Amino acid sequence: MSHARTTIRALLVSRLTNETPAAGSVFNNRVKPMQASELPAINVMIGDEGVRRIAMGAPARLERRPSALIDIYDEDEGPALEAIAEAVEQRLAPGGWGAAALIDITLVAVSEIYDDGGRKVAGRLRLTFELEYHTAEGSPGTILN
Amino acid sequence: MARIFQTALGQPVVYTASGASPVTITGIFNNEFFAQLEEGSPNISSTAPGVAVRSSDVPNLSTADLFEIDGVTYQVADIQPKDPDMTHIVLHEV
Repeated sequence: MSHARTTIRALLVSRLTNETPAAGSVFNNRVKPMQASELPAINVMIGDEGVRRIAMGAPARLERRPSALIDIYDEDEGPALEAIAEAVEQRLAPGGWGAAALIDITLVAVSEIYDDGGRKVAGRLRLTFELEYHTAEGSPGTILN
Repeated sequence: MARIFQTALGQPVVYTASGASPVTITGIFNNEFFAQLEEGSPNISSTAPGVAVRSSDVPNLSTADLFEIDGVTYQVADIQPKDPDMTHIVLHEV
């Protein structure tokens, strides 16, 4: 059984693949450098996670609140990155998650950086979401709805 | 000195000043690997094209000017005077 972080990251990737101007160039926790031929691209990462016990029982229920970092890359000075960000925000909006693992998802920050040192100006737009999901204590792969 | 370097290392490059006709001059072109957005993870593998030319060949150089080198068109991104005779030009692909 996978850790819930793995499951949720894969869920976000599937929500975004072929649903934005980045098309199929959506990566799951990519750490290798991006190639120009892969751009525009989206990289999905799960960041720091706060955890607390919210209910006793056998097993107890843990509330988990990680950040999800959705990084959008392109050789672009703004508009193309923001067009992809618009599509990402629509795809990851609260509601409509049905029986999926997430209890809540909230956009909490947007940041952009640019670098003009290469053959074209390149930019990265980061959307930071706060997620909430629950697991059974001692069984981080068991997601509780 | 600039002429010696250009003779040894230079190649023909087509320079088009904004609003003017193209002219062929000699430039020393380099296009080494450059990792963009290193602050992020991952970065983007790119190159950093640039050309060094005699300053007298580009007397009114501006960021609206173009270079065609090895079949690729570049726009001037930055002008970096090296010494009285040579100018290094940072290029971006068009």
